[in-house]
This record gives sequence, C-alpha cells and structure tokens, in this order.
Amino acid sequence: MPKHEINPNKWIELYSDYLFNYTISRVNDREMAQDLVSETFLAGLKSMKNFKGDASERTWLISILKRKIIDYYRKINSNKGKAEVRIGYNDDAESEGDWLEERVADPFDKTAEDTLQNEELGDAIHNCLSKLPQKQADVFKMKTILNYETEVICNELNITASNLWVIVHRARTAMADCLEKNWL
Amino acid sequence: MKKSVLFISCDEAKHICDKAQYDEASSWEKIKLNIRLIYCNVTQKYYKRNKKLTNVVKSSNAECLNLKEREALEMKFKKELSKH
Repeated sequence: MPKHEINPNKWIELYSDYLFNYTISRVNDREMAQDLVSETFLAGLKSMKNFKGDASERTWLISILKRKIIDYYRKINSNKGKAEVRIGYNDDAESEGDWLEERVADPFDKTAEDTLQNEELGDAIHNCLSKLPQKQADVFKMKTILNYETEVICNELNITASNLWVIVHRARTAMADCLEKNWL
Repeated sequence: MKKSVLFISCDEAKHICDKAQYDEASSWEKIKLNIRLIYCNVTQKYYKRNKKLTNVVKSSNAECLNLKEREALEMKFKKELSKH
C-alpha cells in the first residue's frame, strides 16, 4: 500500500507558496517563477498516474519543478552567441579614473554561501509555515512576508483587528518554536 | 481593580511587542512596553525571541505569492483540474 496519497485539489493551498519560494530563489524572476510553478502543477496533473506514493506529494512536485528549472536554464543558455561581455566603462574624460572603483568587489554583494544560506532559511521558514494551521499561516505570510496592512488582511479574511493580533501572536510563537528547533 | 496607566500586564506587553514588529505600536505603547521590560523576565524573553524572529524572516528574503498571483494560479489550475 502506498505511504502517501495524491490529492490535487489541495495543491495550491498546501504547496504553491513553498514551490514559489523555492523557484524564485533560484531563477530570480517573479513572473518566470509563477510560470514555472504553474507548469509544475499542470505537469503533476498530467503525470498523476506515475505517483507511486513512496515520497510525499511535495517531494514529488519539487522533483518535477527541479526539472522545469533545469529546462529553463537550458533554454536561456542554448542560444549560442548570445553571451556578451558588458563593461560599463566609457572613455568619457569626466569619469577618468572612475574605472578602478567600478571594478572593486562590492563588500555588500552577496557571496554564493550567503545566497545558499538564504535559500535554506527560506525553505526552513516555509517548512515551519506548512506546520501551522491554515489561517495562522495565511495571516503570518500576509503580515510578515507580504507586508500587507492590517486593514487589508482583516477585509480579505473577514476578521477583526483584535482577532488578527491574536492569530499573529499564536503564529509568531509557533514559528519561533519551529525555527529554533530547525534553524536557529 | 483600576487599570494602571503606566504598568501593563505581561499579555498586554506581548501584544504591544507583536505590534512593534510591524511598526504598528504607538509611542505611548512603546513607553509602556519599555517600562515592563525593565522588571519582567518573561517579557524580556518574549521581546528578544520576537525580535530575533523578525530579523530571521527579513534576512531570509522568503517570498510567497500575493493575493492576485495566487488567484491567477488557482484559476488556471482549476480550469485544468476540471478536465481530469
């Protein structure tokens, strides 16, 4: 008997944000990330028969998404001759001497290690969010990640402001517990 | 019992602390929270942990779909799902 069952009716609710965060940290383009997530869900629907249930739905969808991301990079790199070297230096007399500064490594630039750590932390946050009750997760995302105004969230979820703060408090406590166990 | 103007309960302090993470606490509320922070260990612990969570989430650059994006994705998917 398979360990995991498949239920596409819940995919958007359960996995869309996790997959989106996973994608955007790798392709760095919001619109493209949305397209890739959408394509992943559609591909998942088409190949539902192949789901054996050995891995969880999320792991299975991530494996589809990984292939989509690889395809995306293959596609943008396949057009040979497109690569060009852009050097923003011009020989304008006024900017004489500026070229050296332009080429000095930016100390605020992120290293590969920083990027990797951020990706992992982003994944850890979404993992913890997936463990919260749906309403708490929605409120936390809207308030903390999307930075929506309290009024907007209250209207959207049809709750009062005091109700919202109770949910925020519970969500924050649960998130801190979870991240302390898994990250901090 | 009459409610004090300056001295607040631990629960109220936690509530203000939550609001402060989103810049939604008023100056007066912040003063009351700071007074409580001087003598209450529980509030101090909560405050520290809460601030740490805010910093961690900020530094992660975690992203999620906004309402419009999610709606668009849902519509497209449901259309396809109805065919299955």
